[in-house]
Amino acid sequence: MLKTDKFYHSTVSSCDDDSLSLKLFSALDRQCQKREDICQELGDIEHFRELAKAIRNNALSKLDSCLSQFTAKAQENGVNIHWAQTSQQACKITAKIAQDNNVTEIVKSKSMITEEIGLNQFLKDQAIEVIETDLGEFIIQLADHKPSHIVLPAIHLSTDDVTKIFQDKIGYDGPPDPESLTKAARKYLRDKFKSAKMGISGVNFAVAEQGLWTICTNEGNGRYVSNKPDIYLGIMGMERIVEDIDHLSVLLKMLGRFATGQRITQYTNLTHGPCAKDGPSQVHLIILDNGRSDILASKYRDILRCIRCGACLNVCPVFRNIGGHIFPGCYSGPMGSVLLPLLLGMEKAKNVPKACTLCGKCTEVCPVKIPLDEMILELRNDASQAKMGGIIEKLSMPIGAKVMQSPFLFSTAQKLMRLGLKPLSKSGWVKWLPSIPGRWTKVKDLPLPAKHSYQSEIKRKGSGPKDE
Amino acid sequence: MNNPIIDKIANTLKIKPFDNCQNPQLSIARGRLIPKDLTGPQKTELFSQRAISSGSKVHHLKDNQALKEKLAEIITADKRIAIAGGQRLKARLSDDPAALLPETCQYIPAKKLDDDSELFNLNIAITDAHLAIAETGSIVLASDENYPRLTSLTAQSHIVILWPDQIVADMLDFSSALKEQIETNPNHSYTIISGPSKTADIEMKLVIGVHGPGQLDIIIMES
Ligand code: SF4
Repeated sequence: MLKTDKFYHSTVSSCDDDSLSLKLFSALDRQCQKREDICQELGDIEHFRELAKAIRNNALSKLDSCLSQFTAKAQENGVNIHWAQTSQQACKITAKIAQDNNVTEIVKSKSMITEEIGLNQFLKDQAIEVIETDLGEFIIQLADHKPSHIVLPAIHLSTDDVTKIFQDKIGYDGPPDPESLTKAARKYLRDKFKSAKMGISGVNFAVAEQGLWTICTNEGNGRYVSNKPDIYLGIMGMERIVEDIDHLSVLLKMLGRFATGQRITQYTNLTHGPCAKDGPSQVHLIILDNGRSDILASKYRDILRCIRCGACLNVCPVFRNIGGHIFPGCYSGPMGSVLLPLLLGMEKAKNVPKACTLCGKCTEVCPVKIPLDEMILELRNDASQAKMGGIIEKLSMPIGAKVMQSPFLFSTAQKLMRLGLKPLSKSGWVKWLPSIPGRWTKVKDLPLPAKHSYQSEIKRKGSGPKDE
Repeated sequence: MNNPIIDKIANTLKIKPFDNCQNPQLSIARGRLIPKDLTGPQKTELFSQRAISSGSKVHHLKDNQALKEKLAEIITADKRIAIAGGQRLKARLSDDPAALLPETCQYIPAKKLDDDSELFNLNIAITDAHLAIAETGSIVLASDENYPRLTSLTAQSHIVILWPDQIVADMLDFSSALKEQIETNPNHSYTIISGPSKTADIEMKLVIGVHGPGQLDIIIMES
């Protein structure tokens, strides 16, 4: 029995799901259109991408001093800083803050980093309930799904799907339209905002000089979780920092435009510690490494510039067909294809970089100019260097190389292929093949190779085909 | 302070520094989208256009009498209203903002808002703005204990009273203003608000008013 991996099989079944790719296509097309429209205002987009790249590189190139400056300033402002090397540590710190304060219910705004560390499940096991408050995240939490896109987590669900989920889980009895469903979620979550004693958010950017950080949301839930409960905890990847508040301004210009086609998100919160008598009395921040320091030391360090805008997912021809669910982690699309092997280890995600046509659209669109397609190719190279391919790949690649290097072997192989396929073909087409070659005929017919190769035709006739 | 994560980073960067890293500060001015030297009326015009395009309503008013009339128009009977930043508004309007409210509404004084059932039951919040940004059509709020930050979030609708001299051209002007402000007054919390609360999480259909106010009225006092 051939050992193929789960990722491969899920890719195939996602491709078979026409309704999924229809949903993805229409949503992602709109997302791209909105981005293109608003980016026209930038005039020379290239210049802005260069600037954004320089801003991110600048912070990464002095990440140690940026982080020291940031934490010193934040502590001065009254923030409790916690460092976590691993997901496990970050989860434990969070649980401890909750337990020390007798918290059993937490409201949370959308945050990829909490998905990365599996925070909700960890806290659930400790009998602490986390309520997702971003509408998309709330829906998928009720449905027990993973986010299918880093910016649009519920993009795989239709209005009818959401209606069904709300009926089953929160006793919804209204009509199946987005407006009424949103109202129902608002009502449900307002009670949670009122009662929860602790709020958690991710961090879009931290600013070293002022020791502050931003949370961007369109719905306003980021404002709630960071302002209403008595205890607020931010969790940030250690690379999400810029040196100066001017740099923040430029990146905010880019994030809104590239993520959702807005000049800026509806709400941008700047948090910098507790204020007397207004807002939370305890402000905590976890700074997480979880493999990032290893990435910084590797040849893939450019991926740390990523601002999680999702633009590379929106343009990716593969993502548009398969969606984000089948990736073996919370990140998906081109940025996920680079990040997942680095965060999870090559062994667990070796096939992810293969789900790529190397068309380079992602690299073209990325606001911080990450060479995503080059990195994906390099990761494939690493996987094959590490001899991670299956036995078939290990045997076939050297043989393939030999055959292709010798004109004689190559033309013999072509002839053999025709001979072998002939009995399986019908009027010049092969419709079924066994085993691995069957992966081809499962999705399309294979034409029977011509009797004479193009090369030999030219030799025989003495020249190439002439224009009629 | 001994921190293993920072030590590891420092070590990595020593062995493998980033080459030809240009200093972004040198070209930061080119990140500007709106020229600094726009005239006052140009800034107000651009601000209004962009605020409207992201879903806010903008009203240009001449004096307190016009303000009183506008409030009477926006605020229909029985609404429960709170004012944040009343002192600052009072100073600028030379009038108590609460006195400008229509008689039929219920004014909830700030100290009552400590009570969640009052806070979550607000129909309308009136606030001043700390700044406004023409580039994005945003207003910036600075909250503190005299200016409870949740008022403008829990209400169903938010009315901001703004003066043209508070409008800066570009996000970069906002950041220089904020830098100064944070130094002089570190005890504020800041929020940039660029329109009503919205979502497109269900089939990309736009819905206004998810968690925050579903309506944002920006009143520009042009006297
Ligand atoms: S890799 Fe670039 S385009 Fe993709 S999410 Fe990150 S910043 Fe956006």
